[in-house]
Amino acid sequence: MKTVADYVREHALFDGMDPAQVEFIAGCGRLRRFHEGEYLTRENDAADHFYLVLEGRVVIETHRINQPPAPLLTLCANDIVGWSWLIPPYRYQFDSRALTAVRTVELNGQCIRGKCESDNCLGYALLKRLTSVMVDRIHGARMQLLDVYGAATPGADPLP
Amino acid sequence: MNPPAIFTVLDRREEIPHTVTLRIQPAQGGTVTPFAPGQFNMLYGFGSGEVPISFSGATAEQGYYSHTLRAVGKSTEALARLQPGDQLGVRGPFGRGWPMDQLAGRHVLIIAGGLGLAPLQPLIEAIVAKPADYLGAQLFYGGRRPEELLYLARMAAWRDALNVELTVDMASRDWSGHVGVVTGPLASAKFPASNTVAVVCGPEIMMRFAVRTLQQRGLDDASIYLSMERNMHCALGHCGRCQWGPNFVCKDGPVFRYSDIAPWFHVREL
Repeated sequence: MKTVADYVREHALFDGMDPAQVEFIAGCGRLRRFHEGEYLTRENDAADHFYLVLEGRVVIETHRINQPPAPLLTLCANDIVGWSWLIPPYRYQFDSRALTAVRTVELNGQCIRGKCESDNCLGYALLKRLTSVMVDRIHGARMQLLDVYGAATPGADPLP
Repeated sequence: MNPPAIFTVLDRREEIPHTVTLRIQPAQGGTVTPFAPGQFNMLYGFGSGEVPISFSGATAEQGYYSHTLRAVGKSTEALARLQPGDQLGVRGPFGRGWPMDQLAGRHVLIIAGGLGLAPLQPLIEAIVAKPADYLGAQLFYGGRRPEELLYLARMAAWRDALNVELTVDMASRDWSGHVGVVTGPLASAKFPASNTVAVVCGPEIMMRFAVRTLQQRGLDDASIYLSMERNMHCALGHCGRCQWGPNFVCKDGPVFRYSDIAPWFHVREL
């Protein structure tokens, strides 16, 4: 039977990481399932956890006045949900909702922060990996803002 | 230069707002010249100019061509207004298409953005017709909104032969596909990198990001093919209007292997 450490080790976020560090991080985790429609995080709640998605799909969304919530990003296996546990004031900035049945490793943010404070090498290794995810998300958001499908696509008229 | 042949519009289907598919046949009847997936015709709306438009139907179609085009300028607006029975001029087929011989026996990643799905549809239909000829196939298709995605009805039949991942920039809460960029699902997709070929068509900025993701996933540059677009005029490589580095997009492309064009792909203003 696979342990939490096995799932953490196999997740893309920890690909190639020192096994001892992975083991250490896995000590802050537990397996958790979410049903379709269930929330992993709610905006402004205390950001006590983040999630390694093992299976299923999760949508990040934000609420609007008198309108349905706006979906911002869909995440799936090998993605992570939540980094507000890392940054004061440690409150989730968005809702995240299970679009399907979702299997995750739930990692306790406070526990990991404590371990990172006591082992700066671990903290730096983890921060590099999380920064890479954040940069990918920023690049993606910029692409979405560019509205690249709106103009100048194949089939368009040649310029004069 | 070869004069245009006169074709008649058989039918016109509005795919999404401002985007139509025309089925056209020779006005005199008879057969049409066979084409390869990824090639294009020059379509001439009388009095409004000529534009390159990729084939978007299956190569198995007999006696007519299908072209999907978006009305974004004078020429394409005139073509998009054509109704059954109207006539237009056609030159082609032109260009080098998708490397169908390279795809057989391998896993195929099809990455399309917006109207870029149209030039890939003949390739997809070829895979759907003979799925056993390929190791596997996945389609990653990105668009602005769900209601601006092409060929959704046809995709139901494609899903038997290939895995389809749809991604949009913006959606309402009832959308069951992905929200984000098309490279998101691609980054976590499972495929045998050493035996995979990727074919990419869409806005150039999307193709740049797709190439980067494919490289990160272990594909070598010789296994990535892109359909490029530059302004074309003669479609024969004579006028030089579509020259891109040492290549003419109309004659040497529009489909290029990334390893052959990498030096020019990232040159600005080229």
